[in-house]
Amino acid sequence: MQRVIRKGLAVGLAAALALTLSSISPAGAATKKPVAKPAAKKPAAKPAAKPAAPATPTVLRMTRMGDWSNAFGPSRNSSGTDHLVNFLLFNNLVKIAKDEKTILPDLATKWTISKDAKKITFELRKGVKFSDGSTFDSEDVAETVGFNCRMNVKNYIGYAPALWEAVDGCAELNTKLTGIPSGVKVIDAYNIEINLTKGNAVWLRGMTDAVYSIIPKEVHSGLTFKEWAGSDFVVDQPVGTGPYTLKKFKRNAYLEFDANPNYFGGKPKIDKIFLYTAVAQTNVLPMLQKGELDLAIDVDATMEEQVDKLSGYTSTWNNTTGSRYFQFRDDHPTFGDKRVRQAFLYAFDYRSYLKNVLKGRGGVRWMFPSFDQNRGNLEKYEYDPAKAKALLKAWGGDLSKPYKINVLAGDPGDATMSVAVKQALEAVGMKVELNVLENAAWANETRIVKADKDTWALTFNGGGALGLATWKGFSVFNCVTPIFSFYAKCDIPELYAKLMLETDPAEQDKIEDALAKIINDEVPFYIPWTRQTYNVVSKKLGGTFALYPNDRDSSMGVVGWEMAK
Amino acid sequence: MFTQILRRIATGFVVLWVTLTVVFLGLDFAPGDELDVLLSAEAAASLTPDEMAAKRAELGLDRAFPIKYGIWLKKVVTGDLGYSTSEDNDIAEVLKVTVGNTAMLIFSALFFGIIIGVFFGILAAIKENTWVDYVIGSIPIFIAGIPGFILSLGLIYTVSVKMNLLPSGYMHSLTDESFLDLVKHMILPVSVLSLVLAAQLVRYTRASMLDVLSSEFIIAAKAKGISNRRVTYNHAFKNALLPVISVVGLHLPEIIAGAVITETVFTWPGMGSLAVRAAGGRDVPMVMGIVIVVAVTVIISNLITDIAYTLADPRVRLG
Amino acid sequence: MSKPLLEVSDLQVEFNSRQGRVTAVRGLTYTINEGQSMALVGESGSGKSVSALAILGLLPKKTAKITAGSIKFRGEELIGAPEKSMRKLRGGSIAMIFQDPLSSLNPVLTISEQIVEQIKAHEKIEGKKAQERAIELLDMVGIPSARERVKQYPHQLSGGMRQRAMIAMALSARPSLLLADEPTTALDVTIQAQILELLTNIQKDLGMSLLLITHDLGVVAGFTEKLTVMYAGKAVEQGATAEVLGNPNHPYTLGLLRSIPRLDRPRTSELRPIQGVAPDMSKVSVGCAFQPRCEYAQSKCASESPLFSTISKDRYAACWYPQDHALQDESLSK
Repeated sequence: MQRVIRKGLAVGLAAALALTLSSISPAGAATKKPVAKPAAKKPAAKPAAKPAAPATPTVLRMTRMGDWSNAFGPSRNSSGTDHLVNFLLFNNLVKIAKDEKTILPDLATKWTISKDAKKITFELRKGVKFSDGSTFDSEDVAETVGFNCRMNVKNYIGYAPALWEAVDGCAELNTKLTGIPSGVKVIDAYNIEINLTKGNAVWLRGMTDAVYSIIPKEVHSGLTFKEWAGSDFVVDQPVGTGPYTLKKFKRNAYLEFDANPNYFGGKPKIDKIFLYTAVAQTNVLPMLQKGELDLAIDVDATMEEQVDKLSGYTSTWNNTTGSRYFQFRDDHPTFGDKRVRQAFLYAFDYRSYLKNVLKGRGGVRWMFPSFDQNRGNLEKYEYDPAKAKALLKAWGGDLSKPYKINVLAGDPGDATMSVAVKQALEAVGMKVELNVLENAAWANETRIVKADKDTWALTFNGGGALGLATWKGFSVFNCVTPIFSFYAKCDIPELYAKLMLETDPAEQDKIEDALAKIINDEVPFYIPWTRQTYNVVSKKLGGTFALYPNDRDSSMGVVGWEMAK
Repeated sequence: MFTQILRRIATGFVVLWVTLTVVFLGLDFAPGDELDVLLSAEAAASLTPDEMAAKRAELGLDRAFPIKYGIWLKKVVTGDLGYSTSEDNDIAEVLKVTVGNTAMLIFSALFFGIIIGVFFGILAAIKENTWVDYVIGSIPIFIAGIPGFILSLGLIYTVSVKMNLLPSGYMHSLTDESFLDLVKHMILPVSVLSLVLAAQLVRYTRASMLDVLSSEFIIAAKAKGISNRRVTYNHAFKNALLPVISVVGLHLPEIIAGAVITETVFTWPGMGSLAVRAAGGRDVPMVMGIVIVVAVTVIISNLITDIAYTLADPRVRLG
Repeated sequence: MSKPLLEVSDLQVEFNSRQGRVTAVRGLTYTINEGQSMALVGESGSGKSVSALAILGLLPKKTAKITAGSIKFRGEELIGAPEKSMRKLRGGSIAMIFQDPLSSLNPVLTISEQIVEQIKAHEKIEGKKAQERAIELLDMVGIPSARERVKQYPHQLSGGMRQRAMIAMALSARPSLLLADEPTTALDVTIQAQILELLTNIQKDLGMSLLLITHDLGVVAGFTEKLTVMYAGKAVEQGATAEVLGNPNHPYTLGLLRSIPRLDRPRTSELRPIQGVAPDMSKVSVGCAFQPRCEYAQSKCASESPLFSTISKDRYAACWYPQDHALQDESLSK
């Protein structure tokens, strides 16, 4: 044992020496780069754990806080890390631009949508190979649809590929082990037609989600869901067309990816990616301090001060699609009246709260993130207590009854915000009672509609990627069986239904305008700002590197990222 | 003795059953279930209450407690621990890997903790009321005063970050699977666990040793003209070890609990980290799988402690 | 036979205790010749056990200190002798047995291990032979089926058997002096006589000297040739056992005799325990230590300490008025 330790020390000392030596040469190299300030004399980047040699491939070591499903493929997809991994390994038919609106080619190069929004035809990219060497063609697309139908979306945990279910004949395959739905017609090797049961003009936009990845036909044929879940593909040998291939999966440690030399978009510039999947929050800082990470996404912001002391890293705050929202119980005796909801928004100075309490770490919003909030004449609900009081007076209801606000116990954001909200409401004459609930109780209270309408009036919610696309609001505003919003009127769902049948972009815009107007005025629930995540980026990451508001865009951007050697 | 061991094993099974039942009951009473965690807000939003109910039924979460319990117990008895949704793998498979990783930590910690604790405990007793004794006596108080979590972070910061001698976490370096690499990764977590154990044992060993050293048979042994070394190790140590054995046995659950925290801090892919994830994910079958392993370990270790005690002390017979 | 084996003269032992300094032994002088047996009698706390440990150099180093006197064994001074030679002596030429065999035998080692260990400490011998010797020794001290018993642990033997095993162990290196510290006190009354008989028989058979330490004057009567009575850390009377018992010179000896029920006395004669309590050993006394309890004390006793001096041939006592008490005793026995 002692000998081993000594040897370990010797290795450590040797490594330290090597680092000291190697840190000298990059410093010289760094001065050659065009630098804005002349004060480039100070020692450059902190030496990384591994000394860079000319022949070594470029390696990106990254982590993202949060769960990852421990499985590959479209059937397990419920977290941002899953999105990231999926888009490194697979492709979809189409992808979406960062404006969340423009649809871009991916495995499909061209597409057409019929006037009734029921038939979509795709022209597929030629010469694409899966990582197992097989060639991608229409059969793979057809079988992917068939696979999803056979696996039955009810079996899916996390995000279910509901849009495949909308394909004609999908449901008939639910109990089968082979076959493709009748709605899918293979025209030839690179042309395919998909027919939907009901018209859906935004179907294609939904196709950009990670769960709609295309997988090779050979891997799933004849499998039951359980067999599929235990198959090599899902466990540790995924096969895809994506920019990277999986080299190794060390359970509860890391994923190792190699650049796919045959990627149709060109071989990625970073040769290797290590994605740590189970880093303890406490271990991120030490790993950064030791130079063992090049990119840490959505990590504990309290380490910012420490990170700023490290010369090799930059702290970045990025807007995300994750949002903070106030969820009203719209059938509540008081909040059921829209004037009360509006009064609440005028009473709470969310702009100054964001600025002072959250130190500006967020983007102010007055509309769903998926909507262009600068369209039309949307009310911004700027802080105006007088207006709030006037609205309450106009309503004329009983203000002496306390309003219950559900607060998630242990959530630091909720804890401070609930107090601020309470003060704001009390300042305009309302009585407020904070109802602190544990995780599960909170979920029960908030998600399940209780017959007793007086149970709570307001909860705080931190949504995930809600509203990445406008059409997603359709499921949120469900007037028949409300679960997420308690907005009971059917005007919003009706407009959504119309939107889904409208293929003309100009007409789509008009409908979206109308939708935005209602949502903005009725305030079924309200999103004051979108969240920002704290990320740490190595200064070696250059080129086109950028973190986007969602993990999907970020991971698609990986292809263009570069590492300075 | 053989029949007594059998009887102890049988009792062990009863204890195991009671433990598991209580934990199962507790988990069932806890609000919320797997689905609440599995479904993100958005995923949940896309489901109607009927669909939610259907998913609950699919996962078997809607059954009455006795039925759930019965199904689970039947499976466990037949050796089927079930499927972990949070790990997306068979529970037995997950446990196979993680139990080994944790055992690696715990056994090393026991080994070094006992050696260090007993050695310094004896040293302190022999050097009673000298500076050696005071130094040895004060270190455990110091260590016991620091939570394992802080101790771990402190070691990471000093030894790993500042001195860059050892890795800060995980079991292996990227692409390095060598034994030496594993040992390097083990040093810090094992140090934390064994220091905490040793801190306890030093005090027990010292007290026990002093107690024994003042007993009559030690004077009698000296009167026999045998060497001091022999008096200390053959006579005093063997007797002083008896209470230490039971202390180690009693502290084992504590060591396992300590491993949970240590593993989490050091990102060690063992049962501790697994338990944290499983509990966070409300993965009841996984939690139960872990409880089974821990309960069996504790029961077996108690049995081993008893047997060890019996072997060490001829006056005690298993009863 | 008359060569002196152990000569203790004016031994003084001091202890540092929480109560302060305690002089446990305040002047003890006696000689044991080769082959001779002597009893050292006194109340508990009179310093008799301490004096035995002093011989072996086993007084607790941190708390006890020999402040004066000398202990000579075969003419060589033991006080301050190097540890190495002392260790040779312990269990070798001088062996010791203790009051409670259960607590003085190691509970986790077998009888065999404990005897063999001692044999091996004093001579180069094969393990097997040492084992055989152990069995012989057990046989010798009267342990039935010694071959089986030797493999047992102390708790598996009865009290008497344990003490026999202890004796066997003590005899293992053929000592010339055996120190027996209250060897029968912890035993059953019926066993006491057997053990004492065993001890004296062995002593005679092996031609060994014996120091029998006891608080019970009654047990020594038939067993030892010589008797030393201790009081408050000092020898107060010494002489041939029969003579001392028959004709005590010191009032303390007399008191002890009076307090023992004896078969040779009429039942009607009352037992007379010694009045008062033993002195506090942490205090320095002026005059005779026994004076406060002595019914014969006179003014001189309170102011001057009597020397331990010759009364008649081979009779010593530390008393200003020694002769008188013997007469008193004779009148009493009528």
